[in-house]
Amino acid sequence: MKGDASQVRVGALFNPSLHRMVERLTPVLDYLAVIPDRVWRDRGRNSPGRFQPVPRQLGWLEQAASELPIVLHSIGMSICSAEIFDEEFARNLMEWAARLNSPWISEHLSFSRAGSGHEVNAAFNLPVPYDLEMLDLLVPRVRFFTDSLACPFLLENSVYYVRYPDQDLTEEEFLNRLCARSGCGVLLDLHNLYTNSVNHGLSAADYVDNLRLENVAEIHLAGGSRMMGFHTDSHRGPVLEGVWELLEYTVPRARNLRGVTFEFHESSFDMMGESGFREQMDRTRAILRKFRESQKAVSDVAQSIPAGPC
Amino acid sequence: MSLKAFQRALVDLTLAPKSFRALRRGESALLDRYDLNERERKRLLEISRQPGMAMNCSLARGNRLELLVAAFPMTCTLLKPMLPRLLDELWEEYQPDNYQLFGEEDAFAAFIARKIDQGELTVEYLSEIFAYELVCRDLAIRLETNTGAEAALEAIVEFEHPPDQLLAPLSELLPPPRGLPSGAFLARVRLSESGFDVDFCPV
Repeated sequence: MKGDASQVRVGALFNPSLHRMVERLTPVLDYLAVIPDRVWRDRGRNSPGRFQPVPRQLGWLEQAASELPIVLHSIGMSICSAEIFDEEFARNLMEWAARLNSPWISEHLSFSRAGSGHEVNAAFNLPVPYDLEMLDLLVPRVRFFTDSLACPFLLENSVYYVRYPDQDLTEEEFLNRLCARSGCGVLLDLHNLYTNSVNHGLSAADYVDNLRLENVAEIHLAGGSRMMGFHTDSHRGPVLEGVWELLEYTVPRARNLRGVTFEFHESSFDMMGESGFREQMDRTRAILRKFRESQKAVSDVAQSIPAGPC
Repeated sequence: MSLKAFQRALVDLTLAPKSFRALRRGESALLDRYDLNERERKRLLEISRQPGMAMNCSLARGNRLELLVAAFPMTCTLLKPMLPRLLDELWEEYQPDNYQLFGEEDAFAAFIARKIDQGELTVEYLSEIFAYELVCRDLAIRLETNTGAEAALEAIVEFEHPPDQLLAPLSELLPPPRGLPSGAFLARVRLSESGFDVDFCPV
């Protein structure tokens, strides 16, 4: 079954470098992805009035929400932490999704938080081994979201710089099973995939082939940079050519795709400029349009063939 | 318990590059304090030998450092040659305890203040620049939490050297000239949505 690219929207991950331009950029954006964890100050688990909105950040969010739909892309849930399932955090995230009428929300398939009483944070999202044990741990947690949310809940494939030996499943199998058992969708970060393929000599095309693409509801695009002999997911600059190629490869088969989001680090906005930003949006739309037109051509040909006897 | 221990060990190793390097050298007894099964133990030993583990540590340090440089850019510029060693010492005793990394800047500020008080940091201009940046940080927090009322976000800061000659290069993250004349100087710092504005006032 082929996808319907006419339903696919184009957005960007909000960062402070965009806040003065949201109104001006509205014509090139269909939605904004926002990291909600930056809108509140978290006083810690079990604290009264735990999530305190930060007025300045909230002001930016409300301004953006008055212009565009907002999807929430959380980074602090640490849903894969074996020791912590932060229900307060999850509820707060869902309340924000309801308040903003978000078309979907997402988190990362990774962990940073450890410790039961006194928490310790890795200051970096770490990958999890794709084991059945982790799958069993995650399914009820994801269902906590999917059972309550009025919109889809997505998990993003991780970037990883180390590879765990002897895993039960590949990442694609893990995501396929997780979606089947929990009802979540996939946020397919093509730059993460590109990064892993470059750093570990993996085939990104095989990954896309093995992933059940009907579960992919959002795609992330980004740029990266070199560091310590690795390609890193730094979100520096424009989308890389290899990532555009992956987008062209993936879109035609991702039939439930709803959005393609460009992520960039605010420090690279000066390098890219507003025109560079618009170019990323335009190229994304051009790829979606190309697919839409090829879809229409196939449909037209199919309709022009006279029905014969069976 | 085992998966929890595995994750805790990985977080500890990510935050303490010294430990992971020791593990890479074969000091596997470091893992004895974690309740790991054989597969998890092998995994930690294996990834400690992968270059990607050093990358994880560097990225975690980078995320923490980014906050400090944003809050104390001039202090970090003055401390540049010794900053990695100082951060090793600070982060040996202080681990982040929340995903928003709140407390990193306060821990750094307390650490630097203690070092200055104890005479362990005798970098030229450090005391006054650090004091100036503490004031700037206080103003920035007030702006961040400003509920909309036009609060007067300004403060007077004392300097022991000409603040214009200190702040101009440091605002470009360059060290100021050495041996500037000392004296008593004042600067008025204002913060608005468009950024910091500094006036140099007569004493």
